[in-house]
Amino acid sequence: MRFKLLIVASSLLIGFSACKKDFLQMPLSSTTTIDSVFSTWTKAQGAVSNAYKTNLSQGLPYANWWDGMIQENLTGAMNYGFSWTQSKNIVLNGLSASSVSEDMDGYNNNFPPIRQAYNVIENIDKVKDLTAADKATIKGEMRALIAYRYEQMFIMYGGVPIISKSLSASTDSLAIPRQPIKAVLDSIVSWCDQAAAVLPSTWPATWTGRMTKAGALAIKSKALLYAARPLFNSATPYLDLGSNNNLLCFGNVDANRWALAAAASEALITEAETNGGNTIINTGNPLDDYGNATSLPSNPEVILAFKFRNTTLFDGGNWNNLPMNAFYNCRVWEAQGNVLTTNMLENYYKADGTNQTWPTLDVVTAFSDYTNRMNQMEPRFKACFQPWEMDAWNNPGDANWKNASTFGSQPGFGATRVTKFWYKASSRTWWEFPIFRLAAAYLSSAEAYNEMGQTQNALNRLNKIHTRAGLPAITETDQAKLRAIIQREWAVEFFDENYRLHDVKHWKLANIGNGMIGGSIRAFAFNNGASVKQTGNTNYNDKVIYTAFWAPKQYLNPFPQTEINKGYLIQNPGY
Amino acid sequence: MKKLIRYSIVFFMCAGNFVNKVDAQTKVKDTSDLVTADAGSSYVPGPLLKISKRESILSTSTVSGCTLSKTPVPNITNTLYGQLAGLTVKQGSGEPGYDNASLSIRGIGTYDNSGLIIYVDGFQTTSAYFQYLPPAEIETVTVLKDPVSLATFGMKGANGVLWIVTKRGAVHKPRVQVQLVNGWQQAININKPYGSYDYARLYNQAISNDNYALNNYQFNWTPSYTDAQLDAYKNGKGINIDWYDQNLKKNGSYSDANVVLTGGDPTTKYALVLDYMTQGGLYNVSNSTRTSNAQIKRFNLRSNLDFSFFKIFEAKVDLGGRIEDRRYPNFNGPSLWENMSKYPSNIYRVKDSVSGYWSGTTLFPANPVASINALGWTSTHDRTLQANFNLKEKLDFLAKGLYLNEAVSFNTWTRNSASKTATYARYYNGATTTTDKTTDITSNGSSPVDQWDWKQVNLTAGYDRSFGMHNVSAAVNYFRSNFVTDWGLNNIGQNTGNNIFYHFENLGAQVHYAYKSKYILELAAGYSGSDNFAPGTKWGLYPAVAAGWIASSEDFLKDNKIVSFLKLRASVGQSANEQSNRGRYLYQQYFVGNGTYYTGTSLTANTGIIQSYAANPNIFAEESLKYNAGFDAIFFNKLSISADVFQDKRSGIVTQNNDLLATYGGTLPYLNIGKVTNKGYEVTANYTNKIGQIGYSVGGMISYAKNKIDYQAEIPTINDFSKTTGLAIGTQMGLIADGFYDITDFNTNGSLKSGIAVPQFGAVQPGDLKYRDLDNNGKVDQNDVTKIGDPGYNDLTYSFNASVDFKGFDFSILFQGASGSSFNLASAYYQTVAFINNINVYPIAKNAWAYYPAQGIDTRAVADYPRLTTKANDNNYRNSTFWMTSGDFLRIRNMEIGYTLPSAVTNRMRLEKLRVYFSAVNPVTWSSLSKDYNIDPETASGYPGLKSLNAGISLNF
Repeated sequence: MRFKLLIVASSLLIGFSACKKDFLQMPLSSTTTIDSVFSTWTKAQGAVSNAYKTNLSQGLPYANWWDGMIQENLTGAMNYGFSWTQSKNIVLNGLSASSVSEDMDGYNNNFPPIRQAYNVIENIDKVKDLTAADKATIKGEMRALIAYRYEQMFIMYGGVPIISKSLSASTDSLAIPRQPIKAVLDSIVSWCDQAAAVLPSTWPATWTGRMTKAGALAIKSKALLYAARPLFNSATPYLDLGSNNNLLCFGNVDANRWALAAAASEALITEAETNGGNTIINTGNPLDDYGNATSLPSNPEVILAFKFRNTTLFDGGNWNNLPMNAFYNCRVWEAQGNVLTTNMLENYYKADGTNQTWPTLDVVTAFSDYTNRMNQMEPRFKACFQPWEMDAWNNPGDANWKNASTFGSQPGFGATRVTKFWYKASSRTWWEFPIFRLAAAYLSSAEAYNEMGQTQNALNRLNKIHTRAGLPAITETDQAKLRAIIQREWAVEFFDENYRLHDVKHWKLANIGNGMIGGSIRAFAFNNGASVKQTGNTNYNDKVIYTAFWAPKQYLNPFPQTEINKGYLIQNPGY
Repeated sequence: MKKLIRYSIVFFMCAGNFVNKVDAQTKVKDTSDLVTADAGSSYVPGPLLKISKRESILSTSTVSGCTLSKTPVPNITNTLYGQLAGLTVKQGSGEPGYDNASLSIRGIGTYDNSGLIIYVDGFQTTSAYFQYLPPAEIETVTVLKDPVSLATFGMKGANGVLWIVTKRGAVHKPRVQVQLVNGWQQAININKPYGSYDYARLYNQAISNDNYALNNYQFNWTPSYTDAQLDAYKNGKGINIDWYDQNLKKNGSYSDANVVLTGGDPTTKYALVLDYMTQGGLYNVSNSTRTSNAQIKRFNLRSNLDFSFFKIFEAKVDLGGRIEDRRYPNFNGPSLWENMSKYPSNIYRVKDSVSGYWSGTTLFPANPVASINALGWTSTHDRTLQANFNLKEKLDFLAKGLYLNEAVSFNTWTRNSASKTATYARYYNGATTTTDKTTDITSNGSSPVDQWDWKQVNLTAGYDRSFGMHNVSAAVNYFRSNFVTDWGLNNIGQNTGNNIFYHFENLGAQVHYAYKSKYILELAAGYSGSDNFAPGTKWGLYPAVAAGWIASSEDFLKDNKIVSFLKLRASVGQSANEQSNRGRYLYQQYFVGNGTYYTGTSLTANTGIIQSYAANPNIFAEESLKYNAGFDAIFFNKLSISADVFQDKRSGIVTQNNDLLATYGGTLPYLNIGKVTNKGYEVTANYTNKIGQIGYSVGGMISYAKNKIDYQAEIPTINDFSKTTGLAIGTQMGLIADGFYDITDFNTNGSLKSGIAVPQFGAVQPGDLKYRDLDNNGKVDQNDVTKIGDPGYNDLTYSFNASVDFKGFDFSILFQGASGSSFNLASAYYQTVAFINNINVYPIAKNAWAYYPAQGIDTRAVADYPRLTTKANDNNYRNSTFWMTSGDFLRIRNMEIGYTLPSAVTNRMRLEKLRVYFSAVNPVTWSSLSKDYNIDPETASGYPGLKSLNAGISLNF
C-alpha cells in the first residue's frame, strides 16, 4: 500500500514536470516576425513600401490630420487657411520649441523612416528570391531615401544627429549629438553617390515611382544648392551659437560651393535627359505644358513624386480623416480656406512678360478691372489660380471647376482661389505631389551660374523654363538684377511645391520680415472692403489681412523642448 | 473492515480532541479567537498551512458569510463595505446584473494591472464568478495581504488575494436553515435637472452671451424664449416633462430565498445550499413579451461533500453551479440614463399631441420613455460551474504528520444572448421626423456570445507535527492553471485577442515553526512560471520570512489584568504580477501593417509593413517587495485591537520607455522600469461586553494606503510642474482657475488687455474662466497644467459598527466612509455642463456669471459658475481646479433590527430558531458632493446606486 502510493505520487509529479516545458510555450500565432517579413520578396515589399511612404511624405499633410496645413500657408504666398490649422499659430506667433513645427510630423518623426530604411538595408540579404543585383538596387533606393530625409532636415534644422544603422534600444547609445552641417552634407552627398552608382535610370511601368539614378542626383543637387546659398555659405551664422556655430553655417564663404552646386545640377540634367527619359515639356502651348508638368500623373518632367492615391475627395465630412487632397483640391471646403495673397500675386508676370499693376493698398477699384487684369496674366498663373467669378482656366468647361463648384467656404478675401496641380483633372480625386521636377535642376544651374559670374550659362538655363511659360526671354546681365529675376522665377515656377519657405530663408532676403514670411500679409477684399460674393461683386481693394511673425531665430527650426530636455541635443539659437 | 476504519477514525478524532483539550489547559487561556471574532473557525483561512489564529503571525482579515448575509444585496461585493481591513470597496452602478463594487487590496500599488486575485476553495476564479456567490454559500472571505502568504502565490501574489471558503458539513445531525428576505430598492440619489422654466430663463442668458462678439463686444439681451413662453412654463401650461418621473417607478424589488442543509457523521459530511434571487429594476415598464424591466434572476446550487475512507483517505467533492438570467429594455444602461439626464424638459411631450404616437425629433431622437417601451428587450443567459475534487492521503504510517493532497478544479462559464426587438416612428406635430418606421417585434434567437474555461491542478505534500516545545507545520505545493478565455473578452494590451490561452505554474512552499508556542518563525517562497515571457526567462523565485512573538505568554504578562493577549509580528517578502495591462509576449519582435505606397502609372497599392514596438527579450513580471509589521492584542478580555503598518515597493513595472531618445526612431519598447511605493496602515478594534441581559459590541476599522510614482519614464513635459512622476497614481492634472474674466479685462475690440495671459483654447469673453499662466509666457495652454487635486480614488477608508441584543431583540448598525479623493465635477458631464449640444441645465449653474443690467441681471459679484453658453467651450469645460471638489463621504451601509422568538415558543413549533428582521441598506449618506451638487460621491452618473428596505425571516430546523 505504502509502496503503491509512493509510486502513484511520484509518477504524478514526474508526469507534470515532464510536460512543464511545453506547457508554458506561447501558442502558435498569426502575427508577423522579422524572419517572415524578409523571407520572400513579396513580403519584403511591405517593408520597402513603408520606407518609401514614410520617407517621402516629409512636409506633406498625408496623415489625415484635422488641423493639417501646407507649407505655402507659412510663406505669405497663401493665407494661413482656417483658424484651426497648425499654420495659424506659427504665422501669427512664430515657431516655438514647445508647439508644432513647420514639419507637421515633428522633428522626432524623422527617425522612424530612417530606421525603416536601415532595417531594409540590414535585412534584405535574407530574402531568398532576389538576385544580388536586385538586393544592391534596393539598398541603393534605401540610401537615397535616407539621403532625402537628411537633405530636408539639413535645410530645416542645420546640423542634425547622423544615424548610420537601425539602432538597438538596449545595446546602442542613442545619445547621438548634432553633427556640423559639413558632416551632414558630406553624408548626404556620399549616400547619393552610392545610390546613384547602383540605381537604374528607369523602372518598368509597374514600378515607376521608385528611386532612379536621377532621383538620387536630384537629392544631391538640392543639398548642394542650399549649401551654396548665403545662410549656410557664410563665415558667421544668423545668430551666434559660440563654439557650435558649425551647426548653423560652414564658417567661411566659399565660391566653390556654387561650382559644386552647378556641377550637381548639370549632372542631373544630363542623366535625366539622356538616360532617365525626363524632359522639360514644351510643345509650344504654355498653359498645357506647365499644366501637365505640374499636374499630370507620371509626366516626363517629374523625376520623383509622392505617389499617393486618395479615392475620395473628402471622407464624408469626417474631420478625423482628412485625406491629403482635402488640403490641395479647392473642390473641398478645407482647401477652400487657402487663397492667394497679393504678396505672392505680385510675383507673376503678365502674358507679355511685363509686370501687372495692381491697385495700391486700400484703394477701391471696380470689379471689372479685377477681371480684366486677371485675364492679362501669364499662362503659369492661369494653370494655378481661379479668380473670383470665373470658371477655372485649367479645367475649361468642366462642371467640377465652375465658379460655383469651388466657391464654397472661402475666407471672404483673397486674390484668387488656388487650383494648381489639378490641370484638366476634372473629377479625379488624386494627384502626385512632384518632389523633384526637372525644371528645378535648370533653375538651380541658372542660380549657380549667375553666382559664378557665368551670365550666359545662367540665362540659357533660366530661359529654358521662362520661355516654356510663353514669356519672352530674359536678357538681363547685371548679376544682382538677374539674381532677383531668378529668385522670382523660383517663386512663380515652384509655387506650392515646398520650395519658397526655405528659399527665402536660405537666400537671407532683406524683406523676409516685411511682406514675405513676416510682416503685412495682404489680400483682396471686395464690395467696399467686405467679403467676396460668388457673383455680383462690385469692387475690390487690397488690404492687410494680418501681420505675420518674423524673427531671425526662424531661419532654422527649433528642436522640440521635450527632446532638448533629455540633454543630448543643442537647441538652435533664439528658442 | 469498514467498522474497523470507522472506529479508528473515531478514535483518532477523540484522541485529537483530547490532545486539544490538554493543549488548551496547558497554554494560557486562548482568547485569540476574539481577535477576529467574526471568523467562525479557529484557524486562519488561507493557502498551504492550517495555523490557529493564536499562532498566526501573518496579517490577514476575515469575515464570515453569516456577517455578509446581514446586508441583503444581490451582488456579494456590495456586502464587503467596511468588513475587511485592507480591502477597499468602491460602489459602482446599481443596475441589476452589473452592480459590482470594485475591489482592491491595500490601495493601489502600481499604475499597471492592480487587480487582485480571487480564489474560491483553493482555486483561482474570475471576479464574475465571485460576484454572484450568495453569502449563504460562503463560510469565510479572507483578505490575504501579508508578504508571506502572498509570496507563496509567486507571480500572482503582488496585488493581494481574496480567499473564499464555502460552507462545509460537520459532524452533527441534519440541520436546515431557511432564510427569506424581501426588499424594496430605490436610487440612493437622483440629481434632477431644472424644469422648463429655469431651462428657458437660463437659456436666454446663454444665447445672449453667445451674441457678445456679434454685438460688438457688448452684452445685449437677445433672448430666445419670449416672456409669454416663460410665463407658460412658470404657470404649468407649457411642456415640462420630468424624464425621471416618467421613466422610473417608486421602487425596484429584491427577493432572496435560500436553504442550507448541513450535517454528517465521521465518514460523510455534507453541506447543500440552494439559493434563488431575483431583482427587478427601477424602470417604469412591465415585464411582458414586448417589454422588460432591468432584471436578474439567479439560481444557485452547491453541494460540498466530505468522505473519509480506508483510514488514510479524505475526499472532497464540491459542485457549485448557477444560472443567471438577465433581461433589459433594448435601450439601456449608460445611454438611457444619459438621455434622461440631458434631454431638456420642454423638447416635446412623451407622445406627440397631434398624432398620439411617440414623440421624437432629429435632435432628440431617443425619447427616453419610448426607449424602454417601444424597442423590445435583450437578455442573456449565463451558466457557471465550479467543480472541485480533492483527495488527501494521511501518511502518518510513513512519518507522523505527513500527508499528500491532490486536487483538480474545472470552472466554466458560458453566456447566450437573445432578444426581442422593434423600432418606432418618431413624430413631432403630427409628422414623422426621422426615417424610422414602427415595426413588429422580432424575435432574435439565443446565440452564444462569451465563455471561459479554467482547469487547475493542485498537488501538495505537507507535514504537521508537534514535538515537545516545537510545533512544525510545512507544505509544498505545485499549482498549474490553464485558463482559456474568449476572443471578445481578451483585449487588454498588446497581443491578446486570439491569444486566448493563459498558462501558469507555481511551486509554493511555506514552513511555520513555533517554539514554546511563543516564538514563531515562518518561511515561504513561490517559484512561478508564466507563458507571457521568453523561453529561458519564464521563471521567478519570490521568498519571504516572518517572525512573531506572543508576549502575553511570557511570565511577566501571564496573569496581567489588563493585557489578556499580546502578539507582535513582522514580515518581509517578495511577490510579483505576471499579467501586465501592456500586453503579452512583449519579448517577440512583431511587424505590423503601416502605410501604403503606390507605384506604376496605374498606381498599384503596396501595403507597408513596419517594425512594431521594439521587442524586449528580457521582459518579466512586475516585482513587489512588501514589508509588514503589526500586533494583535486583547485587553480586559473584551477589547481586541489589531494594527498593521505596511510598505509595498514595486519595481520592474512594465512601461513604455518614453525616456528613449528620438534618434532611436522605432516604436518604443516595453521595459521593466517603473517604480511605485505604496505605504499605509490598518487598525481594527472591537469591544464586546454584557451588562445584565444586555449584550453589546462596538467596533471600527481604518485602512489607509498612499502611493507615489517613483519612476515611470514619463513623456517629458515642457515644464517641471506638469510632471506626474512623484505624485500618487491618477493624481488629477489641469489648470489652476483664477476666477472669471471681468469686463474690465478686455479692450473695446474684444481682445484681452495687454499683460493678461492669452488662453489658447479659443476666444474668451467676460465671465469665462481665467487660468494662471504658470510658466509666465503670456499664453495659457496645456503647458500650464499642474496638479489640481488628489486622485479619483480614496486613500482612507473606515467603518464603525455597533450592535446590541436584549431578550431576543437585536440591533446593529454599520457606518462606512472614505476620504482623500478629489471628485472632478466635469466627469459627471451632463449634470455639470449646461446647454452645449442641446443638453439640459442643472441647479449648479444657477449663479452663472451674467451681466444684463437692463434685465436686472448682474451676478458678477456672486457668480460661482462661468457664463452660460450654447456653444462648445474649450476654455471653460476643461480640467481645472474650478471643477475639483472633495469626494469624501460617510454612509450608513446597513441597519438591522431583529427579534428571535424565545426557544420555548420555537420548540413548540418544532423549530430550533426563528428570527424576523428588518434592515435598511444605504439609508443615509453624508458628503459635501451630495450636499452641494446633489451628486452621489461613488456612483455619480448612470444607473444610480441603490438603497433598500428589507424584511426577512430565518428559520432553523
